[in-house]
Order: sequence, then C-alpha cells, then structure tokens
Amino acid sequence: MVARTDPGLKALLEKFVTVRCVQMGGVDLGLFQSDPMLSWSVFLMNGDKTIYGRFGLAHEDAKRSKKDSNTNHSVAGIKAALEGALEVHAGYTQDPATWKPILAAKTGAPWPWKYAEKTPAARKYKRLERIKGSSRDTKGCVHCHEIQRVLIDSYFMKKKPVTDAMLWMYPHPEWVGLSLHPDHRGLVTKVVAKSPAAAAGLRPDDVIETLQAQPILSPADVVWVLHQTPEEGARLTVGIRRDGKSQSLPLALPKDWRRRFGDFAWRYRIAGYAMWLWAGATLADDKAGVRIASHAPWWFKKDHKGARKVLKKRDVIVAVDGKATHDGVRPWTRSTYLAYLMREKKPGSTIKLTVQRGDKQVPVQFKLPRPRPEVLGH
Amino acid sequence: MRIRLWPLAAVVLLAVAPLHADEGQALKELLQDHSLQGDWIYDDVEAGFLAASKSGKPLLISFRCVP
Repeated sequence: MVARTDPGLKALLEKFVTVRCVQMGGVDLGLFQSDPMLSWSVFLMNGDKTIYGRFGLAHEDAKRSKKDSNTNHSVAGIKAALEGALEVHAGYTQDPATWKPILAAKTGAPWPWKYAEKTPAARKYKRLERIKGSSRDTKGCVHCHEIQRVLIDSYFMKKKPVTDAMLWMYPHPEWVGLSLHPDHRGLVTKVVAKSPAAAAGLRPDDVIETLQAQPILSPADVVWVLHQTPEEGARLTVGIRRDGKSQSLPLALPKDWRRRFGDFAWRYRIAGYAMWLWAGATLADDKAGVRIASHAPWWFKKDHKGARKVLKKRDVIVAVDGKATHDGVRPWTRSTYLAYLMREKKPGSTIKLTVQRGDKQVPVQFKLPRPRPEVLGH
Repeated sequence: MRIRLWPLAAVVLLAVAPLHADEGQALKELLQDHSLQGDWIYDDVEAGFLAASKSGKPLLISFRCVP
C-alpha cells in the first residue's frame, strides 16, 4: 500500500528494478535468508546477486499483541534503507574490489537444500498449495513464513543437529540491550543498563553506521549480523557516528548469549513442532522457572490427554528427566525447555518432570504425543 | 529415424512466452496491484537480476505472501 501512495517513495523506487515475490517456491533459500516471522521482507541487491541490505524487523511483541509484524516498519524507514542502498550501490559499482569482501558477509551459508519444495519436510507434508496466477507456481506455494519450519523439520528428519542459532534465530537488537528507531537506518533510541550494548559504551542518539564492517541500511542489518554471530560469543566491532564524528566500539557477546538474552518460544511457527512434544501445555517464563500457564488448546486435547491428567495450571517445572532446571544463576526459560524437548526427546517417549505445586515438589510423568503430519506441515 | 525437435521446441516456446506474461498479469489482478507505482516484475527473481544487470540499477526484491 505504501508504494501506491507515497510520492517520495515513488521517486526512490524509480531508481531501482523492483520485483514482487509472493511465495518461496523456486526461490534460492541460501541467497534469500531473512527472518521467517516477517510478513513482509525486502532485499536490496545488485544484479550480480550481491546483497546490500535487508529491511524488515520481526518482534515478539507483534505476536503478543496480535499485531502484524509490519508495526516495526515505517515509510521513513524504507526510504532511509533505499537511500542507503543507493549509496552502497554507487560505492560497489565504482570500487568492487573494496566492497565485494565487505558485502560477501551479507549472504549466509547455503542450506543443504536449495529450494523449499525440495526439502524432505516439504516433500513429506505434501501441503504445498497453489496460488492462482503465479507465473513461477509450477509445483505449489511455500509460504515465506514456513521456510524456517520446513528447514528445521527437515533437519530433524535427516537427524542433522539443530543448532542454537537455528532456534534462537534472528536475534532482536533488544537481546543485546539496544533499541533502534524504525524510521532510521541505525539510530539508537535506548540502551539498557548493564547490557552488552551498555558495556560497549553505546548511547542514545548514536548512529550505527557499520557492524562488523557491514554497512547498516536498516535495523534488519543489525539483526543479520547478530544472526551470524556464534553462540560461543564474539567481540563485534560497531562503527558509530556520535556528535558528527565516526568511531568504533567493541560489542562483546558472552558465551551462550542467545540462551541468556533471547527467546524463541514466541515464534509459533518454529515452536509449532515442539508444541507436540512440550508437555501439552502453554508455558510461561517465571522467576522460579518454566510455569504451566494453561493446558494445550482444545484442538490438541486428544493428543495431550497424558499431560492434561498430571499437569496443573501454575505448576513450575523444577526438574526434567532428573536434571534441575536451575543452574544456580538462572532458571531455564521456555526456550531452553523447548530446545531440550526438541533435541533430546522423541514423539511417543516418556518425559519425567518434577513440578513445584504450592509448597510441594511433585514428580509427574507422561508420554509425549506423536505429531499428526497434517498439523506439522501446516 | 532421427527426429528434428527444434521446430517443435520453437513452437512451444513461442506459445509459452505470452502465457508467462498473462500469468504475471493474472497475479497482478489477484493482488489488486492496479495502482502500484512503477514497473514491478512479478514472482521472478531471475528476471529481476537480469533487468538490474542490464540497466545498472540496484534491485529491490519484496517478499510478501498473498494476503
């Protein structure tokens, strides 16, 4: 809708070749990697497939408040990103030798499967739909937001290890203590005290120009660099502009930074798989640990009858299969618990929990349900 | 007997080319994109790369599911 009404945007768009894709069928998954929770995602590129930047920021609040993830976007923000892309394009075309290695990091490592419709999960589910009128739609449609789910499920099916980076994916800048303005490329609006961003010396009104030398065209580019940062931790270089002067700051991310600061349980399209395994309940993060917020929705009632019998609302999980869910510093989160289930348990296997119920610790056990393919593939 | 296939291939290609354009138009209709500003290539990233390489312009590729 924006492109239909804003005159300033029109003038900018005329400087680009514009492509509108409505599905991921036939699209190279290795090249077009972005947050699958986005309902709208933009790539700014060169014709030789070099990526200049991304646009689109997903946020868990969008899910919680049942708002569209587009609430994190603005017309001013896409304009700023387009202007940034024109600057990078000018630099790249004039001096490709300098820019090529910098921009190479904007492209991720390829997946084992180039196209979504070729993944084991997509082939098994047979849930590919057709979109009328799509010229590329020869075999069916894979929705953009299904990609990560299809990939993760394919990893499970092929018994490939699912990494923390695949689960705690596309880290929001807030994980490291940064809030960025949606109207700007990298304007810092808030820095959380005692966060990695605060330790780096970042301040409100700083403008992040580069991260790991990559030009920042929008907050999505900050997310991309974080997404590529290993779970073992790293020291990132942030290039900022403060009071008209450029300077570099070191952003140190500790070991297990994703688990410490992040959450993927809100990503229902990933957690959907785990929902079939995860104790048949809706979970909540509590100071004491993972709390049973409610039983699974009625449409899962039949599958989760075992869990429904033994779990009660407000139970807090204090041990899983004999392992304490508190390491002495912090308790497990919903995401930690889900990751454990997804990696360590199989459908149909028994899980043993100890739950805190009032002032008593109660041992419970039940069988995890077997997933129904028609739900998994949706 | 050796069969010459190239005339058949040419006929098929000529027949399919307008179909491709028609399908793009049908998708545009489906999305109600009548008033979308500028020229957009529909659902064909390779065509986008080709057009960008020829024109020297940068490329914007938008991914948005059919609502």
